[in-house]
Amino acid sequence: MNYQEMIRELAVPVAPSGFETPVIDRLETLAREKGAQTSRTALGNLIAHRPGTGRKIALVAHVDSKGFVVLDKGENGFCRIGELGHTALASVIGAPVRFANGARGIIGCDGGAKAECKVTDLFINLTCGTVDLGDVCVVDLSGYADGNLIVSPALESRAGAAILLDVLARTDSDADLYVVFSVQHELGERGAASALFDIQPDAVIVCECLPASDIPGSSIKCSVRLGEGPVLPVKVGRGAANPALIEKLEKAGAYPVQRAVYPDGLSDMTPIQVSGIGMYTCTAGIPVRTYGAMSIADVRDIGKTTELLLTALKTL
Amino acid sequence: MDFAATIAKLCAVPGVSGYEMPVCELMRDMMRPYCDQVDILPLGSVVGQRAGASPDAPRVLLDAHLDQIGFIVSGINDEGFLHFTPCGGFDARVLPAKEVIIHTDPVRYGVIAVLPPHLQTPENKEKAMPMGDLIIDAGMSAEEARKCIPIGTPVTVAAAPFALGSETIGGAALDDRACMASILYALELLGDEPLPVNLIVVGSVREETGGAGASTAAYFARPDYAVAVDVTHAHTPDALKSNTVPAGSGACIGVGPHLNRKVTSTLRRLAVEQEIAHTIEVLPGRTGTNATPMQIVRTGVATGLVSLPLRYMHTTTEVIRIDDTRAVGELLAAFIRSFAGGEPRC
Repeated sequence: MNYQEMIRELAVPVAPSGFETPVIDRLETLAREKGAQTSRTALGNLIAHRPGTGRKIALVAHVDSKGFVVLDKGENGFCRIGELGHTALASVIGAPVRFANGARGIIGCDGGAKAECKVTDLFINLTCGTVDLGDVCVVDLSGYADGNLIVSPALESRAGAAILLDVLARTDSDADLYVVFSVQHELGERGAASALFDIQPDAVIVCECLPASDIPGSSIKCSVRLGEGPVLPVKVGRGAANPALIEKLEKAGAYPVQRAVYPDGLSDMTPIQVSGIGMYTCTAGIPVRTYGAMSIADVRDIGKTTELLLTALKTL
Repeated sequence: MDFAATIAKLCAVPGVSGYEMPVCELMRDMMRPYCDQVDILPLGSVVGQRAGASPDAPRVLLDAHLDQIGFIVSGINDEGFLHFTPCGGFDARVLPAKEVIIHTDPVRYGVIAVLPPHLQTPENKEKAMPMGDLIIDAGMSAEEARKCIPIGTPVTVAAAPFALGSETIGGAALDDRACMASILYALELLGDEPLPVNLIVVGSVREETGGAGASTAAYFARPDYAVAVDVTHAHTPDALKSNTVPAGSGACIGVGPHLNRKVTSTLRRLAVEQEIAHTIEVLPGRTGTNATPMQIVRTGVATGLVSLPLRYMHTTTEVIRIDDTRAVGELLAAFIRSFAGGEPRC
């Protein structure tokens, strides 16, 4: 798979947290093209099933990005907005946004740009089209690829989805594979909390982006560097990965992986592992440098994460 | 039961919250003599089941948590010192200069670094180091540490139980291993007698990090009734009397909106009738124990709370009394037997 192209394609739909249908629709078409049977859950998660005779394995990637919702249309094209997921607000002042209906605007802040601001200070200056209460938008910056680096908005959700599509296309394991594209991660991992309840898999691997430490002033105590392979987090916030699964993944691939501990943060792993009687769960992450509206990943890490998952499907 | 020996055995095996497998395996072996079936669930909780005289008898669950507060290694700095992240609510003030066990295979030792008094500034003397600034000295170079201590390795403070007088034990992880000793004592008291309930015994994981071990175990075992057994604050001279119960006052029966009144009333009545030493603790909201998550599993579970008075909670020198531990076990056994006369009532 050309990951740069796939991530660019998946970043096009306006699909912030809670309003993922546009990207789920596109993923459903792509998953079916790869031979998977698809279904959707009540919350809107997409489940792509590739039946097999082996162990029941679920791979999970969330697909929602951060965004904003119109709370008040205001006057003269100045809308007040609420957050869908938590965005570093200072990073989006002055950024262009786009709505699913084609409307566009620029995010402004009462009194001009500030280092510290609340979402109630922000507004959208509509420049094109009209919007209604409850319409949602995402930051409209264009990504690019250069060498090994992929720079993109919505990278944090779409990179994992691209990997799982590639796994669906390439796996030749006998695992009874469920690929889950989950919703509402940014709103408290709500899609993942319910997605696997009926499936009851033998093991779950979450594929999501995790912050790299190789940026100036990083508060992360462990070393997570771009280009050095998948991240295996032992702990993300309250989610503790199954230690035996981590060891199996470490031994599965013939290339380095990066162990990490994130005392804070959100992972789909957290609610999945406490669903029903509990599930054997871990995360295979892609290291990203995240700067609010835009993130940077290394295409080699994305490729190695895919390879790790393909190997895991044969060895778990 | 030799309480000191049982507690020492339970406390000798590590079980940092989220990383409990060693103590879970021990617990499975210790439950087997009393149970028809023992399972370890995906998160690690140990669930023992003993059939009652009738398969239709109520399903009654007794829970104590196996996990203890501890740390995991979260990074290694260029001087070879280990960063760590707490798993559960340690008091950072008591940690400097403590010896720790790093649970690699084989285990390694370290100390939590501390600035000597000679080098402290007046500001250092006044303020405790925040948790995030504490580091472990494992006596290694960065290269050596990176080679043999993987990120995510669990760490416990080295603190074996010790006797204080004839009836008192001190040590780390008495929260909640001492309560597990009480449950084992209840099982011993029940012996081989036919039970009026289908009994479920849970050694749960992850209580200190949210209670997921108990809620998933309750989901698995489908109890009608549950009793969480955990520690509560025993009185010390510097504590408010209204926030504590006296050490040596026996089993502490929790009363409050999160606790089922029929279960609570039955526990109180049994304690009085059978002259089991007890006291009452009123909990106006969340109990801070597994009783709170367990009671809302599936369609809900009638849940009570029996607590063991303990001093210096969440330090490495927690202190409990053996007579209290025994009273908790006696009350639990009485509760199970009471179902012969009907289900709990107000």
